[in-house]
Amino acid sequence: MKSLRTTLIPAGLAAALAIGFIVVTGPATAATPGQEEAKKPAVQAAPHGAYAGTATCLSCHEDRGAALTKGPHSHAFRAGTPMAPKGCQACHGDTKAAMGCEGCHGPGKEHAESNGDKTKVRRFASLSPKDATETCVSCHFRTQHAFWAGSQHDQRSVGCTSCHSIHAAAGDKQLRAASEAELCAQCHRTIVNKTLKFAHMPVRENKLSCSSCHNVHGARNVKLLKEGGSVSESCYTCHAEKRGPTLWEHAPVTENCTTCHDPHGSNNERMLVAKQPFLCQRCHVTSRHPPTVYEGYLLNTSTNANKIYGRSCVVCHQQVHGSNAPSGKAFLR
Amino acid sequence: MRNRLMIGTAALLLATATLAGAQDKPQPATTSSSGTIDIGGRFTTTDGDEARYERYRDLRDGVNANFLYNRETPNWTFDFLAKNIGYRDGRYQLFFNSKRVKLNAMFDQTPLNYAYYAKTPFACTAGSCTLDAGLRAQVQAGQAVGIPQNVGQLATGSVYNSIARPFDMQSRRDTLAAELRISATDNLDLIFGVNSYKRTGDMPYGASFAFNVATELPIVIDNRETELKAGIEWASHQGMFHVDYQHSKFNQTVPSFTFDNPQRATDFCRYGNAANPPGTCYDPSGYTNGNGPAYGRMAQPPSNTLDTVNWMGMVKLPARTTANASFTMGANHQDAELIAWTTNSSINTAAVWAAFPELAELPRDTAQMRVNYATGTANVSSRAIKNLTLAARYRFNSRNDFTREFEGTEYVRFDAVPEETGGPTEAFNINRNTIDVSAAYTGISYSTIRVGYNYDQWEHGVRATQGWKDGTARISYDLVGHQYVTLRALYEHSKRDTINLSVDDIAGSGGQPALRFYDEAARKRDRGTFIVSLTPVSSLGIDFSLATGKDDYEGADSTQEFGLLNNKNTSWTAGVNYTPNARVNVGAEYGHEKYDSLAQSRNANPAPDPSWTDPNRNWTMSNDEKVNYFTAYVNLVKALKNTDIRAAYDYSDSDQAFVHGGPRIAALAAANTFVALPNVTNKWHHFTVDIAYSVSKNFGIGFYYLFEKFDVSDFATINTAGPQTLPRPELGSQTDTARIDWLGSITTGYAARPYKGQTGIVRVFYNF
Repeated sequence: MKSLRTTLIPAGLAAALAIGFIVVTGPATAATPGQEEAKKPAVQAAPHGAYAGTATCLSCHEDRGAALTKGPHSHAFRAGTPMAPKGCQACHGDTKAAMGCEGCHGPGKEHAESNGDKTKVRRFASLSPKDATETCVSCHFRTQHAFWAGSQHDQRSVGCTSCHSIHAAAGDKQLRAASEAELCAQCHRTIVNKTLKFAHMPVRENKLSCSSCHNVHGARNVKLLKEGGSVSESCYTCHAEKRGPTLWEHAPVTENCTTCHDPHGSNNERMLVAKQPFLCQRCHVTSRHPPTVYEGYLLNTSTNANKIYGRSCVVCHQQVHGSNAPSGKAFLR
Repeated sequence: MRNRLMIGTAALLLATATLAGAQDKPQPATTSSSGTIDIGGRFTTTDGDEARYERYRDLRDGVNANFLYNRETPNWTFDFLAKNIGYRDGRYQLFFNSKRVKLNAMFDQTPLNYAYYAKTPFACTAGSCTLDAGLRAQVQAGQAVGIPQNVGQLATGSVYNSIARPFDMQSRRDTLAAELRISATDNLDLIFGVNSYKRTGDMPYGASFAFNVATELPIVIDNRETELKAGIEWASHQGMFHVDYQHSKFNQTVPSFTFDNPQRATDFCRYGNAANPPGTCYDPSGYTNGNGPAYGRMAQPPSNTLDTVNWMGMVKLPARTTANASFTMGANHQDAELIAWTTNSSINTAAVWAAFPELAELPRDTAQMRVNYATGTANVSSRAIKNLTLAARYRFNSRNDFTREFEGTEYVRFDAVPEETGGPTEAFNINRNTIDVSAAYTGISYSTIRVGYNYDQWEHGVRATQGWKDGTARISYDLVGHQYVTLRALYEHSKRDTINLSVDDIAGSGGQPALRFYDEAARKRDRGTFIVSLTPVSSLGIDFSLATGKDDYEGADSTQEFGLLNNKNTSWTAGVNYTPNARVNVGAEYGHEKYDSLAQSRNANPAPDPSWTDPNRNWTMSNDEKVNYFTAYVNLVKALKNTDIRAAYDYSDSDQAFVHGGPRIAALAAANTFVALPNVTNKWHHFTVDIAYSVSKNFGIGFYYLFEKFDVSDFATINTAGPQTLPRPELGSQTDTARIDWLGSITTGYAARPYKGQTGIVRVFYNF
């Protein structure tokens, strides 16, 4: 496998650079929905006369227009939004017209002239998640959306409209729910429930949210973690004191924080996956005190009680994440 | 999916931007401002563990103020949000968006409240925790109890109780995060970012001198991590390319701290008994009863830096095909000044150095550590064939430690005992390669059937294996878009094999040869999830979910006898949501979780003691946990005239059993030296109601009420009469008052304790 890695690392770098070369040396055009449709339409290219104009749309769908004003798609000053005139200006000089509603819903003249025939316009509610998503990614493919295609949610037919609503948003970022936790819980209820546990990150206090750690649109890291290249590297972005490196490292700690911690919540102190000392005793089957039976008799009669109550093992081995002390081999200093 | 979630308002956000360009000849966009001033009074009462009630919040009595402001013009928008103004959990956010500039900024304060009932006899400042010298001398002379060593001394109690002072043990994380995005052209963005995380306050920390001389201290922490980012991003209709550089620096203001020994006031070192002169302090067992230093010194997490360069790109190819790739390189440096081998002046002598020459000086004065990281991904996803989506991904991640070896064969344990049982530091390298392929068929109405395979190879040094190989097959079915039902199901089977398992390495490090470390051991894993949502009518949603998983270690490796043998978890939820119209939304959800695990160990002395190989010394730990959740909510948005009412109730409980078993337990029980540990249980109730009444278009009044109740029973919590659930009648009736001196340790008393808290906010708000 090492030889494969030796081959594939440069290949991965070459792929990234090649993609950049293709992107950069391609025609330098603005990424607007209108030009998307002209050059590589997510919808079928339509004759110019097939467009009805936003005013026509709003004559029946006034409520949709009102709802749209609450979101960034209405910001005409940003070149990429449906309400920006940039797309039409490619052909029509300094027109102030914009693609508007039809930038996403496709040409609507036929729909309007057929007394609102729903089959004559693009209705996202009737599209499969993948088909609906193709419209959105015609613009939203940058930065945090760059790894959408083939991502975990994409593969499971979770599309943009599964979580977002342009016209009926209930929360920030045009989510369909009032909060991220409420939205994610629709599929990940068992995970979100963990935030109710005794030891938890400050998610239910609204200090963190699911997207604080995860990029649900696709990520380079495992588990859709948005930072770093491994679980531990992701955790280090906020917990840099654990990053080290240190002279004496605790190998399972360095490899994966979730070997010992459950980041979503736990009923054990410090979000450990099991209570100490029993967590440590799963690996430390040696001689003397690590595999000692720690139970109620010791708790009440022996100084070994300090391995059971309070901080347990880490009252001595406090530097369990790694020690930078010369005498820190056993993580005591 | 026909479910309609309640359309509610998030926070206090009101936007009044007009729709620009709404007609073929659009009217000019208007300028508007809006916002909310929300101010009132907050009142909190708490019984029990007040800090646990607050935890990450500041719920003190006082003025409660929030502010929201929005301004929109034809050329830019500006939003500002301030919450909990003036409190330790305040948040301030700013958003600016114009044609060429996007700016997001946030300043957030998050407290971590450990305990307000904590007590300590130590006087701790940044870098030092001291203890009364006179009392230490008394303890050293045998005239007083420092740390209780037996039941008799428990009854006497520690002399340090007389000087232990109550204090609020708490810390706070202050976060500043900002990102500026400048669209230099329609295709090119310049990106600048800064993140700063500062942690100050105190936190409980272990610092000990022997197995029976352990202390928990409220050490002072003061550190900051600062990240700077600069990058560019190029995008066209074909794709995008992004490159950025990040510099992260973790600055440790308190690189080490010293802490006094509760059992001694002067340095000492003697092996065995009084027959051996002071200074002959070698104890081959490495054990010490604390007759060592007057004080110890602990190294804190060191300052370090991480520099990262990141490339990523995405390109849209013909036939609905997309490719993306990324490559990241990082360099992590740590060169903190090293503390000495020991603080003990009885060890830092020529006599000891004659026997332990390496302890005379450090091999080097600073850590000189360097670790490089690299991560790369390449993905291709294609819908070239109708109804068939193919995806392939390759990913690698590596950690390479280039640090020069640090010779630590001779070192000092607990600042008390010099030993030669150490060794050199080991460079811990990791290389991980992952290939994932999947195919999804969407030719059946509303359905996606997906099969996939993932191969993950993890290589590392230093440990009992040279790595492992995971092969995971999965199949899933998703039914979405149907009028009445949404269904998602997934099953995964995974088999892990180790690479070059070395039983000799396990035994060489003192472990039982049949021990396997569960994070690198051979394993069979099965996981499944099932979610179904029914919408018989558009206003009603009924959902059910099930998730189950099992890890089998001993079944994957017949030579494994010790360590974690298996674990299993099963979670299910059932809920209902009813939204008859935009004004009413009610719902409830119940969930149950069960977790089982089994581990085996052997209580033994080292070989050649016969206990080392005696199966009658085996014991098991069965750790089972059952958790129940319940959530209910009612949201009435203008269902009553001019009134918004939101109420929610959350409940969570846990019952965790720790059951010892096996022949060793039977032997201990027969000798009346075994008492089964009681279950650890907790129950948490959380109720909120928020009522807002609009007196007029702009003005309103509001009332918010929060109730929380937490009950907990944990044998690891020591109160004045001992462990909570193991009463000691001779010490009197139990109370919930923390006790800081128990067998073998002086602590702060921090543990899991119950509370009941109520917070009310009465406010007025003005919308403009």
